[in-house]
Amino acid sequence: MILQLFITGISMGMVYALMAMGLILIVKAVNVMNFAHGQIFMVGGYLGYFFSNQLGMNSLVSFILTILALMVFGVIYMFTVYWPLRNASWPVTVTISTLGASIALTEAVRLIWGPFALKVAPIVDGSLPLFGSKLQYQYVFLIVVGVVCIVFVYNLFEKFRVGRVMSAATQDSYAAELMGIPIVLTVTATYMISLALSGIGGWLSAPLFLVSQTLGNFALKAFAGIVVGGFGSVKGAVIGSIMIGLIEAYSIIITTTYRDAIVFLVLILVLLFRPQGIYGEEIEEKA
Amino acid sequence: MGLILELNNVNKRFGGVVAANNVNFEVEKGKIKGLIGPNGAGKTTLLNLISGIYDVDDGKIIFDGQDVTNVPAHKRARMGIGRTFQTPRFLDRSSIEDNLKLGTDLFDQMGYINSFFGKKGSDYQHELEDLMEIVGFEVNWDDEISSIPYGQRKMLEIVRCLLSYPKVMLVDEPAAGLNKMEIERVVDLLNLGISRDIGIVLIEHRMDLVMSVCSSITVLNFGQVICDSIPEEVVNNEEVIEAYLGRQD
Amino acid sequence: MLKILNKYKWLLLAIFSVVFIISVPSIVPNHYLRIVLGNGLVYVLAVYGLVVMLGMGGQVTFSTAGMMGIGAFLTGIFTVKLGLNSVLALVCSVILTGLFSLFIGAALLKLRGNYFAFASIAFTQVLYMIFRNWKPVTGGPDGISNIPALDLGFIQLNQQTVMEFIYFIFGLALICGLLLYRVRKTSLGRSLESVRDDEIAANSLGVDVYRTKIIAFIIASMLAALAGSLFAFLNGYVSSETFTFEQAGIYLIMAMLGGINSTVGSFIGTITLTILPEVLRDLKDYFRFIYGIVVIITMIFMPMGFAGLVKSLLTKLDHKFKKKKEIVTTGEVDTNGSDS
Repeated sequence: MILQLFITGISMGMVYALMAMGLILIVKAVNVMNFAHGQIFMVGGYLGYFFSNQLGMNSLVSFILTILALMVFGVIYMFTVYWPLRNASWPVTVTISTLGASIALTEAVRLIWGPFALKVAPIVDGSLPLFGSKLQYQYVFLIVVGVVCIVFVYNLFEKFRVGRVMSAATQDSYAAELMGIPIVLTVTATYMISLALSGIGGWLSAPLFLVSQTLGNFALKAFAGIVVGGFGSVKGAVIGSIMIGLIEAYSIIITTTYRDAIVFLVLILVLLFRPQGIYGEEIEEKA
Repeated sequence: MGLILELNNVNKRFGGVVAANNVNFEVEKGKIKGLIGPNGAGKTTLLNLISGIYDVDDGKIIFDGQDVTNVPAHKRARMGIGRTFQTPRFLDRSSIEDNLKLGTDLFDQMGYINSFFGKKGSDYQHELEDLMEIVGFEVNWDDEISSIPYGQRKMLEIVRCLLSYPKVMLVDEPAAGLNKMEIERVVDLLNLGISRDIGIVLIEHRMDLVMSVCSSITVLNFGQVICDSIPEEVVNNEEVIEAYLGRQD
Repeated sequence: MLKILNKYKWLLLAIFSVVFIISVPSIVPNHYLRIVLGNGLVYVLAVYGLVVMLGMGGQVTFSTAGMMGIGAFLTGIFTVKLGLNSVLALVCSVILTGLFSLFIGAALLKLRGNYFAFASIAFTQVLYMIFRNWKPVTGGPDGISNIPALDLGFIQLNQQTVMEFIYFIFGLALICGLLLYRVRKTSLGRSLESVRDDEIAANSLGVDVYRTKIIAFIIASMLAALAGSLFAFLNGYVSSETFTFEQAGIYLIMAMLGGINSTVGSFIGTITLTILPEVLRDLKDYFRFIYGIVVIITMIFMPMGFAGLVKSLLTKLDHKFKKKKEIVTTGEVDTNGSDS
């Protein structure tokens, strides 16, 4: 039981982490909270349903096509929801436009695939007997792919030159322009990667849950993960998200009805007593 | 002599950088104290310490006979420490009138509730007319502050500060980016401050201006006071020439 | 134009109010639409809170839905479970929520910007969970129904007397709007604006940033609670599904589309966005999709919403007018002659 909760917790944490990484990449790049991120996750799930079930493609092709589709969509998304508003005198306009996007995406999906929840066949069938309980292979698969993605993103942005140039460019756009790094490209690339990550999360978890419009709400947990981990680092976002996954899984022991409330209470407590999160830097005022 | 502001052995570090090293500093009522030094000497940091935007690591700040070292910034402002910034800090999305009224609000200090019920404050309109006569330009009060030129904004910031009747006014590079005529207006504003017995701290890079208006000058270098004297002596001080003027050759 | 508008604003407001009162019964003929309009007016009060918090104070908050829920559920509990007099229940709900928001504000407003926004999301989520699951108090998923009418003595306000209810809330909205207008013109409004635009400047002008934010938060929360309480009376029931995070987002959108910096704008924006889905019923399936797209487009082309658009159009008109005049009188266009 405890072990099974652990596995569920970790795998849910992975799902949140995939979203949280994408969110934090956008925050670091352009200081925007993408409130439509959960809907991107949902679109990932629906694309999985579309490619695998409706078109009957094999899992690998479906996976790759989902990623490609979301990368293309990332470009469109960046140029409609963020780019025209980058110099707005009220930064909140970008927030509102992502809220608008979240509504539009939810509705678009409903118009295409209807309001009812859809069942997606598992990518790897069967389950592993484990100390008297059963563990679906899908969970194991999810964790493996999640870890691969995390390692990839972490290395891309913290180790490789490309990623460092990208984060440097977005932190000081003026200097970057002087050095000949086009901001448009780095921001676009960030959006592409970010949306693809969230979509992968949706694609992976589609078989575990029914695919429906409520999948968008998963993003709230990713927000929580970011804050708990520390606003501003990929590492923090991942660790925070996994913690949120575990807290959520184990809170079943105490209560089932208030499971989500416990997660958000933890979030509020972290904000109050350690607002910089676990891995965040001290928040300092600038004069 | 009427001492209004006093810094005793003030220290401030940012990581490994010493921004203020045992600074002692005095400002008298109705006099202008010049604060000069090469770039990065810690002049603006010192103003931030005085106005409370930064906390001092140790040392004491005494204002008007009271120890204000641990008083938060907004309370120091209410006690009478007014300031302007190197790049004027205005509310970009509010009208010019609202921006200037904040100065009067600070002077009136009547609280939100009294203000809400329309308690009369000081004569804002009259005050402002006098000050606008000195600066010598007119603006449309309903426009946003960003619609007027930089020079006018810099002057309006001093006007806003004067509207609050401070006891000490910290002025950070008021002449930077201004033309000759505008600088004369700034000097007029500073003189008005003197006539109101305000102790003024002036950071300025234009030496002619500093030499002509200041009654004494403090020279900072690497967060340390290297000279504190009357203008005539400062220009002849060797350490100052070496640290400050000497860097040009 | 802008000046003329400014000069006669009170007259215009009076004309608008009178026209509204006279024409509503004929414009909104059926009972269902009237209830929708009543709810729209209720939302206006909640959105006014955002005008204070976001428009004046620059703080993005998702707490509106949560606070509105508290107001609504308290009203439900006071009237249905404790049998309190309805007016007393309304007043108590608003005041208790105000007190509660003092503590919540004091805790959450230690955080800045994005952090505060997150905390407010978490706050609304926690409350939503409590509303939905605390069966003995909030009725759980069923909510609280059979809430009595708002008894003003000479009239009972509920769904049967929806027209009168509309007038009542319209009057409240008018009063609150005027209070907001007053706040904007006094030192609290200016202090909030300074908090919004530049906290350091605010500090150096003697504004206690933390305290000012808390005051704004309390005002916003009490307005939300008032809205929640009226919502309970108007609909006769309260359910957790009205107070979700999504709904908090909708209030933000309403405020922004109307014009976050304008009391009149946010009024028009809120009413329009509540009524429109009902008027455009033929679009039914597509409405919310189009709505989402329109939100994005509006933010791009008129970030200050409807009110901002009107204002900038009038300003442009003024400038054109002025220029023409100047050309006539001096023969040349005055270019602002400063060399900096």
